[in-house]
Amino acid sequence: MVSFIIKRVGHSIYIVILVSIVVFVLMRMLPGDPILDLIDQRIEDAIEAGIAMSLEEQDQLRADLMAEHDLDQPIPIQFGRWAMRMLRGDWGRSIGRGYDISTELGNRLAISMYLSAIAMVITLFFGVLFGTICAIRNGKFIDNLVTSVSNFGMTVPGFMIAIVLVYILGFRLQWFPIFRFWLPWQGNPGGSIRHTVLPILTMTLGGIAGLARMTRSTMLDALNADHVRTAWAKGMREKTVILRHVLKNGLMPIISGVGGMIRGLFGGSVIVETIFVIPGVGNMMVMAMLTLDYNVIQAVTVLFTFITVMANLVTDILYGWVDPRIQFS
Amino acid sequence: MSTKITNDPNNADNKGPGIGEPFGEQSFEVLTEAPLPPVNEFVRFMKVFCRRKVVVFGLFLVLIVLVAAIFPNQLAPHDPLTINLLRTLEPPSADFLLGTDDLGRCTLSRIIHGSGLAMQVGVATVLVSSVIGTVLGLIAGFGGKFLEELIMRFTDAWISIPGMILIMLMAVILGRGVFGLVLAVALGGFPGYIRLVYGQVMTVKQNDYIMASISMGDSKMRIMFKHILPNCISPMIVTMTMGLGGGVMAEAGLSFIGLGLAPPTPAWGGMTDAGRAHLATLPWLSLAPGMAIVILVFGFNMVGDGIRDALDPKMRGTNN
Repeated sequence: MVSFIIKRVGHSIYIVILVSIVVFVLMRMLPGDPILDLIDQRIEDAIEAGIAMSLEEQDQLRADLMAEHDLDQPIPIQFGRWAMRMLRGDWGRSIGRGYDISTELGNRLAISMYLSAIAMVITLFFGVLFGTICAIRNGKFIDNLVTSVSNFGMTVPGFMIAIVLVYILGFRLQWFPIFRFWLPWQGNPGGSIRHTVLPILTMTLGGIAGLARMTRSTMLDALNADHVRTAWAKGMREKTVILRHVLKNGLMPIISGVGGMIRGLFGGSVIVETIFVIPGVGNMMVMAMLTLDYNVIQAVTVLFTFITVMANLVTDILYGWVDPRIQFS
Repeated sequence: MSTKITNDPNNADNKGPGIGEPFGEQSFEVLTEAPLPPVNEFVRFMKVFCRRKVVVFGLFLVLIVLVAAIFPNQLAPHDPLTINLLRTLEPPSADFLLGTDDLGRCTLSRIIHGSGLAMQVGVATVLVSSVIGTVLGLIAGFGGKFLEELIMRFTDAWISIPGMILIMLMAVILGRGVFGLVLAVALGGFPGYIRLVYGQVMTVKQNDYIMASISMGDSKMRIMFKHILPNCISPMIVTMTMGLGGGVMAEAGLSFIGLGLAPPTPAWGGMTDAGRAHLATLPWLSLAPGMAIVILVFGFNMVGDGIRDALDPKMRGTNN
């Protein structure tokens, strides 16, 4: 068990390193110049201040800016410097906006994590609940209803769910505000919670549909197991049979799906945070993509990969701990 | 001897002699029982496939979009790119069935013209990622320890990057043409195929007939194409049809956040985003192209479900 965990941790570290190298190199292949906007902006600032820059001065500015972000170095050296700074806890600065990435990321990650955690709990609760009900009432009306709805729900892209919700709950019924977000401990907790409703619904509906389908099939397998038939034959009450004999076996495979869910939530945050103008990490990523902000793209990708890898690691270990049949090797 | 012998009891030629009938020439024919007619795999496939109404409905939806994608000019009432600033943001009318957008372009025509892109991206991404995935999976399975480690560890890393982030990165790198878009979405999805093919290679390799094949001196190539690939085809088709909807959704997501095809080319995701500004007053501008995405993805998924049921013996007889 211990050697398994050590091996898996090593594997995770190696994946994060590999991803950061791949993304670093890929980004340097991007067409376009991240400095260009910045230079234009500096020149305009200078003109507004009444100073006209000569061409030499512009070239000098360009060289300075390139050097400031190590862009004048060969790629391996750039990567080496970036990695050294990362290990010291310095995530660098945004090329376009100049803010310190680790501070900004800290503030934004709190928001993204807060929303993802709520979405996660709601998805798990309702997904498992609906899936279990369907499995117990297999073939009945409620099963057909939930299965049809979730079949349909899985085909609707996240942004479409968001738009329908905004239209119905935001514009027609005017129940919930349709954009902006802040954390409840940043003042006005009631307002914060009202602003949470639509993003959370967007983030959970698709996941609930998928999870309900998955739970339904694993629970059906568990319901047909021999020891469950024995339990029924002994005359145990339905509640006891389901809660004690079926639920645990039926839910074990779900644990392995949680890692994928976290990956999906962070990937989807890009779209949800754009629609609802939430100042989270996904929003930061879209901004960085549109302005080719190498440092920010690199930092966010590595961070998201790290979170995904950690989630997979924890679910793997948890799975082995819950299911004694799994042998660590 | 008659050559038309079947096992159909209703066929008069095939009836045995009744009680009391003399045994004549006919009875001889009955005794020479023909082997059962071979099961027509295609007919069986179609039977399972068409058993669920929702699957047939899905196929119907896909066909509608396909027709729109092939004949956009014949079906669209207006040109999708013509700007008419005198008739902007009109509600649905007899002239413009789904109204006009903020540049006076016909929404319905733009949706019809967008179907080609959605179809192309869906089909092309699946083809590209399955081909890349199959080749790399086979190399990993047959190319020796070093290549195996290299490819499979790379796959592990690739799969750990959140999907949408990866596709966005690739889309920015590969440029904003149809080709770049297809490649970006395909590169987001190909590790799944590598794992599938690699898994099949590892499973099939255990069989005795591979051992026999090796001991007879068959080349790796022959084993690959004769034994491994045929085993991959069934799970591959299922993954591919399931991937169609995913490809369409990924492309729509990209063009929704502004990283898809450059305007003015009509793309469903981009139209949904552009219509968002008028959601309170003219909801169809956003909802109609969004519904088109849902219809196509739903159709693809249902067809995928049907194919899975028809190909997988374990799934036969279930109703989900």
